[in-house]
Amino acid sequence: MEEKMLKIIVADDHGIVRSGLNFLIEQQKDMQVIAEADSFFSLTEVLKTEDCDLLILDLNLGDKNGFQSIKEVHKVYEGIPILVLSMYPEEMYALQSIKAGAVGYLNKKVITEELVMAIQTIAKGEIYLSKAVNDTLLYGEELQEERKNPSEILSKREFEVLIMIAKGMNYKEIAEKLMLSPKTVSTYRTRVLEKLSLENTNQLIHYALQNDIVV
Amino acid sequence: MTTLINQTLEKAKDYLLDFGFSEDQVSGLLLQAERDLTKELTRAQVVFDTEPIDHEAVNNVLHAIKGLLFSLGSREMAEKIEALREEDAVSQDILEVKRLLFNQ
Repeated sequence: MEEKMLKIIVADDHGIVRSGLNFLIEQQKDMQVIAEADSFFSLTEVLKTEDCDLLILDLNLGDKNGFQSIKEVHKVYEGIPILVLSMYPEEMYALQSIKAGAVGYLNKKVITEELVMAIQTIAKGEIYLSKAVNDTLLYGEELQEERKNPSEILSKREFEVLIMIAKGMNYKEIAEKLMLSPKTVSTYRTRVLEKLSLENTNQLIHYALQNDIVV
Repeated sequence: MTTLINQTLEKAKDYLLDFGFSEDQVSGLLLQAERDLTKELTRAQVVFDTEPIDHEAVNNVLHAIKGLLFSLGSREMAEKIEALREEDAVSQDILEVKRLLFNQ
C-alpha cells in the first residue's frame, strides 16, 4: 500500500531558514514541502490554493504579530495543525502559542534534532512540546508564568508606554513625555501587544486595570 | 560590510555542518546566506543614512539581519542586534548598530 505523503507549508521570512527546513524535510520519504511563504500576506495567499496537512510557522514573520498570525490562521483554517518555530526559548512563548491555536512549538536551536519528531507527533493528532516545556507544565509553573508581573516580561520602556496608554495618553503626548517620535511609541505599543498576546488598545487598557498596573 | 559577511559565513559553515547538513547543502545555504546578508546590509546602510530616521524601516531591517545572523550561528551578534532593537531612541543607537555591522 502506498504510504501517505504528509504535505507541509513552510512560512518564514528568512529564505535561508526555509531552505534549511526544505533540506531537512526532503530527507524524509513520507514528508514533502508543497509551498513556502515569506510573509503573513503571502501565507494567506498560499493557504487559499494549497491544501496541506501541516503548517510550519515562524513566530515572527515580520508583517504580523506572531500570536495574531496563529489565531488568524487557526480561525479560518481550523483543521490545519500549526507547528510554531521561534528563535525564542520555549518557556517564553510556547504556552501562549498553544493557547493561540498552535499544536506544537519548536525552538530553532534544536530544529535538526526535533523537527521530524515534532512533525510525526503532530501528524498523529497530538500536541508537541519539548521536554523543557512539558516539565514546566507538569509542575504547574505555567500558571505562575501567566501571573508573572508584566514588568518582568516587558522592557522598561515598553512598560512605561503600557502605563501611559492605559492612563489614556495618546501617542503624541507619550512621545513628548518620553522624548521619542510618535512612530516609535507606536512600535512600542505593537511590541507590548505582541508580548502580552493582546490585540488592541482596549484589551491593553483592560489588562492594565486587571493587573493593577494603573488604578 | 565585507568583514561581517566573511566572519559570519566562516562561522556558518561549521555551524551548518554541525547542524547535520551535507557539504552540498551547506554550500547552497552559504551562497544564499551571502546573497541575503549583502542585500540586508545594503538596505541597512540606506536606512541608517536616511534623515529623518524611519524607525519602522530600521526595526524591519534589524529584524531581518538578526534572524539571518541567528540562523547562521552568530547568536551572540544576533542577540546584540535584538537588544539594540529593543532600545528606544533608535537614533542614538544607530551609531552602535553601525559600529557592530559595518565596523565604523
